Amino acid sequence: MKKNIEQVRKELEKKLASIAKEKEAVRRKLVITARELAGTAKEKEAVRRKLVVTAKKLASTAKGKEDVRRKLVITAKKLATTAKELAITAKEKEAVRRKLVVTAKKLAVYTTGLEIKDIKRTAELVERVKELELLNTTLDTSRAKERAILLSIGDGLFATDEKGNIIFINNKAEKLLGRKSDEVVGKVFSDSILMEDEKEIPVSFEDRPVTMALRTGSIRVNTISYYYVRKNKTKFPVALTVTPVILDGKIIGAIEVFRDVTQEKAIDKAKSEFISVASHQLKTPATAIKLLSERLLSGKMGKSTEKQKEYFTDIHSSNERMIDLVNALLKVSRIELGAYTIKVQYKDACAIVESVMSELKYIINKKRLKHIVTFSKKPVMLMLDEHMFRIAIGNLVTNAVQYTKELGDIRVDCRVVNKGQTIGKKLMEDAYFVVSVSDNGYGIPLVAQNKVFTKFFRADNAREKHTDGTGLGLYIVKSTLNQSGGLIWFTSRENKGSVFYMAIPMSGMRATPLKK
Amino acid sequence: MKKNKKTTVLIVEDELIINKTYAEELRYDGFVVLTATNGKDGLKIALAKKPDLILLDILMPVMDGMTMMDKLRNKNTYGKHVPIVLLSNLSSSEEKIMQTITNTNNEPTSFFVKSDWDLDDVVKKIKSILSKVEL
Repeated sequence: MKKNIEQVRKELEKKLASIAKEKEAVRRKLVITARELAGTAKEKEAVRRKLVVTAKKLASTAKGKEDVRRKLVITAKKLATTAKELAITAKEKEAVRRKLVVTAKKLAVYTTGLEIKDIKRTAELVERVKELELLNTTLDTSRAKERAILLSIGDGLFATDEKGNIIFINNKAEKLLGRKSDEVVGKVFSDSILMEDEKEIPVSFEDRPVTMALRTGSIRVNTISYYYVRKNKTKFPVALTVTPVILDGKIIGAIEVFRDVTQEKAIDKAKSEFISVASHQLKTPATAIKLLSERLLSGKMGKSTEKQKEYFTDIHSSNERMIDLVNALLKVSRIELGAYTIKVQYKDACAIVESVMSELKYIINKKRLKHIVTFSKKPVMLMLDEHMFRIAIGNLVTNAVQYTKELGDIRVDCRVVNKGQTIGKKLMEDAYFVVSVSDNGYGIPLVAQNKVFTKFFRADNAREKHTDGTGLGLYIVKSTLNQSGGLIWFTSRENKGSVFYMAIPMSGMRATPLKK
Repeated sequence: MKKNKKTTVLIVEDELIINKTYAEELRYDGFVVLTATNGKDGLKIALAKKPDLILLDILMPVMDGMTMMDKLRNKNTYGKHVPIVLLSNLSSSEEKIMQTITNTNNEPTSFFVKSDWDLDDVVKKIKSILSKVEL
């Protein structure tokens, strides 16, 4: 039994084992199936997702389509409007076109009329153009000729613009200055053409005649005192004339014409030296006559008859005149030889005028002239050459006395005139001490007025009224005054009288530098 | 006149008429007058006779007035102090000399008179100089 049980147990166990095997097989199959089912589920999910995406895409596509449709509708509407507008425009265009056609027709009519005129006009224009071309050629030739003329002028010439830059220089100027045109053109004239005065001091831009002409618009003439310095540093005396170039009332430049006056200077010097020597030689016998006639007149040589006395007096006074003339000539020759020296000292100018007037009282009273002298209240202290100043005032007052009728009036006035003030119709460019001497005498005829300061000049009415006189007094006064930086000028009317003005710079007279 | 009786003036001037006229005028005024016609002779006489004053022309032949004055001034005490009146014709060369003297040497014993001064004025000047020297 027991065996049976065991057997049965074994059989049961076998069966159970086989069942377990089968279960396992089934489980495995189930796992596989489950896995397969899981995979399918995944695939399904993927498919589902794809379907969702596709659905979304379709939905968006639908939306896009709707948008496009809407846009198309709008565009269609716009197109319709544009079409309408175009239709209107077309109409308008047609109207314009029609108008144009009409105008064109009208123009055609005009044109026909004008064409004939035009042909004539064109012919005229062609002719005019030809004429202008010819004129242009002529002008070019003329300009070239003018340039050639300017270039070939025998005197030196240069032109500047309004600022003083050289714009042209001719051949002679190039030759005289030893400088080529391209060295100076475009440069300021005072930088490229150097000028010195008689004392070999360079003349600054401000003091050059060109600058003065550009500034004042008046012609500047200078015949004696300047020298040009050549490129090689040698110098030559120059006489020049500067003319401002004025266009429409505006100064647009200046032209200077100059020449080398070395030869003239040498001749002048020889002439002055001759006058100097001749005068000097004349002076010795004149002095002898003077001394002898004085001895005769003194009575120290015994009594003389009335007639002898009269003749001695005549000899003496004629000789005095000759000495005056010789002295004046010597002075002139010294001025012209540059040997006149100005020595300055600090002096009261008013006091000197007063003193000269008291010296001249005798000749004033002799003619019974009324005279008034007016001074500034305070002394006017100036650096001046007293000797020269006295001679100048003495000369002006003596002239006033000599050329005024008896019982006439003489007025002497001294005053300081500031820069910018006008006196005697003259605008003062600086501060000056001005002495004016006026009279109500014979006056200077208009025709003689520009010669008053020239050597040996005496106006006809002056010769008639006063036979003495050398015609050198005012020349000497002007020359020495100018040398010292002073001025002299006058206003005068014939038979009404004259006023002579003498001005000394408040900065003082310019002394002659001492030469060792 | 009496005061000047012994006063001697030497005139050195090459122009004979001028020399003679000054001499006569000064003699008339009571001076003792010596004369020379050039600087060389003038210097000799000056050193020998020691005049109280010398009236000296500048431009002269043989030796001019300036040279004579220089030599005299440097010779001795007399020469250094004797008053000399230079007669100037005021030619340009003389003016230069004058300028040089007045600028460089204020010699109290050298004076100038111009040759065209009146005779009276020259004599007055001489007298005035001598009166100051005597003081």
